[in-house]
Amino acid sequence: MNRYREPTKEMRSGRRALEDLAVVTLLQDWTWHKPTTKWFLHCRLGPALADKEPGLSETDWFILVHDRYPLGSIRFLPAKERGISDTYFHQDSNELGLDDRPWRDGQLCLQYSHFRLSRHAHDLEERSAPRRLLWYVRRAIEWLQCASEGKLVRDGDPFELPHFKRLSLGSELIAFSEEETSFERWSRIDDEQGLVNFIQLRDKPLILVVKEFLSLGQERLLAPAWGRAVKGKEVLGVWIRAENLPIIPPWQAPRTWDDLNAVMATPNKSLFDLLLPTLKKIRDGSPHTALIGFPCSRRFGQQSCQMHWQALNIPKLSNDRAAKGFRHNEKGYRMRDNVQIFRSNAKVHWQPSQNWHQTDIGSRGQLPEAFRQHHVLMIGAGAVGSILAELLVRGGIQSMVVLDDDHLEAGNLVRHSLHLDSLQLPKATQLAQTLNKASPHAQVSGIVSEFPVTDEDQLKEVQACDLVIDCTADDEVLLNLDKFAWEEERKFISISLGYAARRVFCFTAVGHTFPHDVFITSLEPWIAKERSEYPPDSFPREGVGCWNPVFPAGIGDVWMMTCVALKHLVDIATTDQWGTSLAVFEEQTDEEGRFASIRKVDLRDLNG
Amino acid sequence: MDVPSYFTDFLSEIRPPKETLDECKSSHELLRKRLNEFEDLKGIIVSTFLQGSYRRFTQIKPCVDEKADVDLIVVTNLDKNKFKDPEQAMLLFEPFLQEHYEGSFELQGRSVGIRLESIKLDLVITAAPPEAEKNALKSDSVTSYEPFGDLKDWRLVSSWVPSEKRTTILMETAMKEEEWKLSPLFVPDRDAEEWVPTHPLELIQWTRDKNARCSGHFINVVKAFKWWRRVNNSTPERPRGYLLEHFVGDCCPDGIQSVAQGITLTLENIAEAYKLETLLKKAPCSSDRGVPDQNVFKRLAGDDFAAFHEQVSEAAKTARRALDAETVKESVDEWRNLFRDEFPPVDDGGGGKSQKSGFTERTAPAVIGSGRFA
Repeated sequence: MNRYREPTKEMRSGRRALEDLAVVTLLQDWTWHKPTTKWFLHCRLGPALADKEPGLSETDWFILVHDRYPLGSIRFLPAKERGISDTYFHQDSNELGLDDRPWRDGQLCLQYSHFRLSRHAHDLEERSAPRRLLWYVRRAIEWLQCASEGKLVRDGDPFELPHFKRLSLGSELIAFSEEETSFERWSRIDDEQGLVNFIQLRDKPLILVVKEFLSLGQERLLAPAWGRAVKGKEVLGVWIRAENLPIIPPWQAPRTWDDLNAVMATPNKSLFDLLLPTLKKIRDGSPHTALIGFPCSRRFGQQSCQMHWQALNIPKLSNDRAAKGFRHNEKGYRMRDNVQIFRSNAKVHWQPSQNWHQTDIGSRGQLPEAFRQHHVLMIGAGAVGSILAELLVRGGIQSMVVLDDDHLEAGNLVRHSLHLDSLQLPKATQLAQTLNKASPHAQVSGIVSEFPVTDEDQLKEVQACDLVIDCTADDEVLLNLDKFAWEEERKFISISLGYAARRVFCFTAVGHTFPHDVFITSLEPWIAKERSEYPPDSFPREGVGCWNPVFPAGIGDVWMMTCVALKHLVDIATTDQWGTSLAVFEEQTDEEGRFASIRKVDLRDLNG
Repeated sequence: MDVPSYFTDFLSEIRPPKETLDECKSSHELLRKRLNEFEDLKGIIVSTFLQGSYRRFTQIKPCVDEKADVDLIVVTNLDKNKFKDPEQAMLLFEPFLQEHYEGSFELQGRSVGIRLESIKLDLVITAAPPEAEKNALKSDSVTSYEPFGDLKDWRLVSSWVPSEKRTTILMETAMKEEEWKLSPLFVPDRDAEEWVPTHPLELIQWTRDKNARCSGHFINVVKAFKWWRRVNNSTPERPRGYLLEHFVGDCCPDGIQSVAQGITLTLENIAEAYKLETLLKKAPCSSDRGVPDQNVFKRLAGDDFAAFHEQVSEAAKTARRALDAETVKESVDEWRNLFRDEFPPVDDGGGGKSQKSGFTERTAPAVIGSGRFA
């Protein structure tokens, strides 16, 4: 252990830069904090703040940095002495925290990109040693200024929940699905409390998914639709509704039962008036999850448009096995619970909860809304089909039927999305199973058959699809698509790759049948070109003893061109250009044959 | 501007490196052990302790090609009446030096210089102190050296203990106990062939108290002053070392709030106080802290002092500009005129405008940090 721990040159340079700010006073220079293995600066952020909240001027702070400054995290925390003690927006729950440190837990969120206070609004975070600390301190000053003016959030800012700090260290999660439609249904439901059935998706860590909300009398009130992979044993919980988001102003999540009662109680009802009728049903010697529902909006200042459920853990309640010295009836149990569990200053055991509605969990990169509504028939679960199917399901397509009569072989693994555990099994059903696990909303089924299907039930499934994607590169399939009696107009797309996946051919059409002859005419010149470029015996063979040419193309090329096809598909869908057409994309190389780009090409390129 | 964090970093640049400080401590302890075990010197050694700028925390790092100078006192019980010529007393140590430091030592005017790997020990022997004071001179308070200690924790009392043995209770006692009043020690002056008085312990006490009156900034002002002298003026050679420290002791006012303030006022006060002496090309007089009837500047040449005074007067103007500057950049640039490259520069063009507002305009493009996703 180095007795002589000294702050690095970079840390000192960062600290010197603070001399630039007159509002900052350094109270203690860089000091090593052994329990957290961080360095900290103790400083005071002075006046030059609005007078509205006098408690906010001249506050003390601790800035924690990593040994590797300017790399690593930088945290801004209120001091226990002379620091702020409330919780505001863009701040972690400002609890007192552990004894081994002079700062509270309420870390400021200073990287929040919607900070629109000054002209430094779109400041990229500085990364150099002299400037990074200064950047954070400036943000903290802005934060303080906004806090004192009540402007940490403004109307139109994305809605942010307060930090319901979890008590346990695990990574449990409670998931639900709510949006505008279900909100509207809740508005017509009068019940204020009830029971909830969860599906236990996993045990360790615990993941519970709301299966259905029930009234106290076990009548089903609401049940979200989930994908096929959301299954597991059923677990009982309870729910109650609050009129509003339960917070202690400015933005502190309730910490104790007393806090919670204070924010939820109305003149007619206390928190326990709401909760108690449900507790009767869960006196079974196990802990349970309770949900508190409240309306919220997507943006501050807007009308509420969906329900949010905050989860909390209710420990084992008293029952005739546990209670000693109390009466063995509901009243007795309640008294014991009040003493043991619902004590005024006992902390509420919050559990993390999340809205798993498609729009909420898909926000990082989903396909356009209208596109996601398609029911897809994916014919061909080979390399291209398996990747395209995964792209679509992860992108938000919920309903898909995968059709393929082939089995997965070891030679497929080099560019297929399935794994060892699917070897020698039907690609269609294996792929469906895997895809269902890629999204909580996926409803993918597999049909082990070639196209067309003959079985009655399978036919129904196929007819229910409105977007047919062919990834077989098999002419016969297209001929059959042409002959197939579709009940209604369908959108078709056929995707195939050229030799070595240097080209991808995306043929789209709309109609009651697939226009096979147009397809052939469009593709012919390209196939001719391909043949001229690559002699027929340049196909590698697979294994010994069987002359079986395999189509050579590396995984990167196959996946890349499949993604290009997806982009094209999405473009067509969003611009609504579902005519009959062929789009060809081709890999471009430079003079030395190295990859340069991908370009859309047409017949002129063919001849030129 | 005071720019305290710049001064903090400047001072850590001009301090001797940790290795040097550790070596001071270990060489001193080794020397003491060897002296105590040397047959011929048994019965002669009373105590040994570190004195000088290392003991008072007023030292700066040695020049690039030089070693750090560490001063050590060896208190003996040699009667100065018996050894009228102090050289005789010094020669008693020759066998010891031959055995342990052969080829590395040299008898100087007042001390024996011993060249070690990275430090140069200056060994000064003293004549016998009064019998009643011998125990005090053997105490932890006198003999231990804490390279990373704090002056304010040190007291010349029997209950003082070094940090590794310390407890809160022991410290409380040490802080309350009254300090010893010891007599000056007599050290050799070979050229004058006599013993002269010196009081290193009193000087340490004086420094500690002055430092306390200056909120801990005094010793840093001394260091900064010495550094200024070194990097700006190679001539005249004197005043240097302790004399510089003494000037600061005389001219730095009590109650300073920062090193910046201290160095500015010190330079200005020196410039102001000795105008007459400079005119007359005479060195001033000032009492030794522990031996008041001795003039520390006795051997400082008048011409040298006059040249020095002129340099100080010029530097005082620079310091004043630095202290009064309104922006960090202007201030730091002036301080760097005084202290050169060891004083950190302003990094990355941070702000050239008034510091009244909370923000400064960005003058250089931001370094792109994020913007890449995976």
